[in-house]
Amino acid sequence: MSRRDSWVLVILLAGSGLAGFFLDTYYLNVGTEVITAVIFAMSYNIALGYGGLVSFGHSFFYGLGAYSVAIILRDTSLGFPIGMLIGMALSAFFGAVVAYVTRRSREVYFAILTLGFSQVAFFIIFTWYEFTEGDNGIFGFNVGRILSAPRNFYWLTVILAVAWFWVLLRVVHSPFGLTLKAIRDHEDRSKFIGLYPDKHKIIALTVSAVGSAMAGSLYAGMSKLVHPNLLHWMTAAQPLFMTLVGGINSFWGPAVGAVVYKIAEVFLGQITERWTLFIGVVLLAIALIAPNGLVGLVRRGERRTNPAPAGTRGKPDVTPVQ
Amino acid sequence: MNGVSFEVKEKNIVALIGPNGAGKSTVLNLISGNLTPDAGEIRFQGEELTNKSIQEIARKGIGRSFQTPAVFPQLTVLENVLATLISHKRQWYSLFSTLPDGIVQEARRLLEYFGIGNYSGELARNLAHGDKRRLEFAMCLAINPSLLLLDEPTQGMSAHETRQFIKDIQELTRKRGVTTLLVEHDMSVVFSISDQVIVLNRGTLLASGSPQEVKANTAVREAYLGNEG
Amino acid sequence: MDATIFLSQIFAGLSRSMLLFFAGSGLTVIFGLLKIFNFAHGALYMLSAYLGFTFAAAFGSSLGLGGAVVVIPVGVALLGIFLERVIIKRIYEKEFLLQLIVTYALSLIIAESVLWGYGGNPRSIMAPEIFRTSFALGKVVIPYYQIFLIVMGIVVAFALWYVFQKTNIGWTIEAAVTDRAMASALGIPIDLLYALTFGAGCWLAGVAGVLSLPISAAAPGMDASMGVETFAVVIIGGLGNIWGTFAAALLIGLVESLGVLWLPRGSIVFVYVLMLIVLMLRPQGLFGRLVRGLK
Repeated sequence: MSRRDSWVLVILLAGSGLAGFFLDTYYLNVGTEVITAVIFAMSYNIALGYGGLVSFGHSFFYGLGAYSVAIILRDTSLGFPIGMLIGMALSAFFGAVVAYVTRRSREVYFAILTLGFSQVAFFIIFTWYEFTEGDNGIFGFNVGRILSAPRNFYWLTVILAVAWFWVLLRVVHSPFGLTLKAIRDHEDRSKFIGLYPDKHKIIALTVSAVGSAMAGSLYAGMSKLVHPNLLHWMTAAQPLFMTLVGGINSFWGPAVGAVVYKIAEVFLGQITERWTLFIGVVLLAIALIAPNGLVGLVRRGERRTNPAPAGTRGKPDVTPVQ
Repeated sequence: MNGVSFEVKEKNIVALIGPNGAGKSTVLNLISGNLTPDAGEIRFQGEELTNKSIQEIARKGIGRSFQTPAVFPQLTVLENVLATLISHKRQWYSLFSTLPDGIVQEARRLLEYFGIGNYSGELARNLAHGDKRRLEFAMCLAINPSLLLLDEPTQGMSAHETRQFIKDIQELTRKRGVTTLLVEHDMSVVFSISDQVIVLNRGTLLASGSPQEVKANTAVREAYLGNEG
Repeated sequence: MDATIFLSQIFAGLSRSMLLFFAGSGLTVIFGLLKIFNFAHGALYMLSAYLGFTFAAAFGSSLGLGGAVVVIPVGVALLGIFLERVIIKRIYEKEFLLQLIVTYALSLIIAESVLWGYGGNPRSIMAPEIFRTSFALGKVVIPYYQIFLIVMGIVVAFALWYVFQKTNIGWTIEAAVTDRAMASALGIPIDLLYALTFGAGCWLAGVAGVLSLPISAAAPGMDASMGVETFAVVIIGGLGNIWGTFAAALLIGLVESLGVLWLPRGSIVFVYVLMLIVLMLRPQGLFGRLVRGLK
């Protein structure tokens, strides 16, 4: 990891931490929400930017994290940290399952499949009244004496976020990270040097699921309200936007995108209910004019002609992405 | 492919020639594992390769290059070789450690050997064709191969680069004992370095033997060489 | 289970299948020939439903719906052609993520613009006079409109199949997509073909949107819900395969409407589960091939 990244971590930690002394309750909660969005987007980008996996299913993991916290706090006295860890563990499990099941599916099929997964999860939470209180959602749970203070919860979020970014930085710069990027770049070639793309993708998706769950848990702890909509695929589209706006090609891009998105949501949202229209326009403009833009939006690339039929012993076309 | 059968001796350089559509690339694809034969078998150093996966075959020390140089376009030149080395040393599952110094040095050495050390920080997709080709060779060598499968390696190369390539291959064979099976259209290359030439035509084996024998073969002359050579 | 309810659900399901087929065939045509998965398809469907409502409401529902079906999809097709010339043509042959962003951004823009214009209340109209009655099949009451939809669906399916398989059009477009330079050298007007193909796909989405009005209201969120169902249809049926889309549409329409009898609030989940199962067993869909062409 570069010195610059280390400095960014330090500044984030110090800056956000200090800000915690000066903000009032409202802004502390906003800050917490923004940071959870950043965690979500950064984790999501492990799958998207580094793994090349376009997923509409991450709301499943996010919601799992949120509901784990809600249910643990509602029904047990285990406390917030345990709830969050359970959520993260469950997401790791389901992340691996989803990745394994979809390992043969490419591009469009993968995207729609993950969408299907998150919708099925949404449906289960929605209908399992007895356990999840369905459409009413779970609210008013108690995160414990210490964490109930917004300032304390905010600092917890900051610390966890910085710690998680440190973990992600190490993963991205590790031998795993480099080979993951190689697979994303040219999957066929990677096989010829002895790599197993399926295994890489499963690990990448699992890591990204765990981070998404943590984001969801922190969000639940702050808002003290969870609702099945957290698992709907439209929630999964949010980190996609954030990441695309900020740039999928850089490590910190999604963080920038998440902040921009949240600002738009809060401020534009006050002006008009149709604020996502502007998100659409911005995305379209960036995609068409500068896809490799400032933070590096989309890798300019051409689709390989003749992708090999999934699941068959086909001849992979080894024409590289130009 | 119909009844194609041949043998490649160790540390030989074998050229696979024939008109377009003869099935030369298919042969390479069969050996390296991205195609599976309906019948017949492929053996390498006594082991059967026929139904193994691409990765298993690659790990047995079989390197492959392609008609269009297959590199990782958005990784730097150095990273391309690093990724190959990491995979070769089975370290890809290491999620938290940094790249070991030894690997970085080894990668740099490989780049220097192929004369592209200056480009180590460049994105692979920005390289000129010839340099991409050299990067591909560096990646092939990184897996410490005993067999190289090269698909039209000199395509697009200048005369000078071709001569350099011939020297490199010969050195590889002499010094590292690498066996090479190459598909080629450039007859000057074929006849200057091959120990054995195999001629394919429309999926069948037309001839196989030393370069002189093949040159003299009338069937080959008619089908392919014309009146050259 | 009561046979009358069962039967009437079947007809309801079939007529919904037809709507899914119209929308799905548009999507599959665009993907099969142009290789673009049009994420904006649901939004175009929504646009045409709202516009159809305005048109029909203005002209009274008998003439209105008929007129709307003729006029509005053409309008949507023209919009589609415009979008294709200005935006879509830049993403041919580009990587999937870029296509996703562009078409998804378009869907946001279209859907939100519609809601901006119409506000959040659902709009619906009644079926035209002639179709408003039902006929009785034993004890079952079946609205004529459903029969009309079913017939229309079969007609359109055959028409599409005929045009793309039996006439030169399909082969010409395939040729143009496979080898642009060659096709262009042969004098084939590639740009025109691409634009018309995209327009045709949008037209089909438009037809689906207008025809949906008597059955379900034009409401916020219909782009997402119909969009996702349409995706499921073409994916299960196999991208690029018209009969596959038809079969999948039948399957999904029936699964949903019969599923309602079992799980009233969530029959859509059967569709997702079905999709997961199909794709796990057969990654390219029931009848699909991942490569090129339109069948």
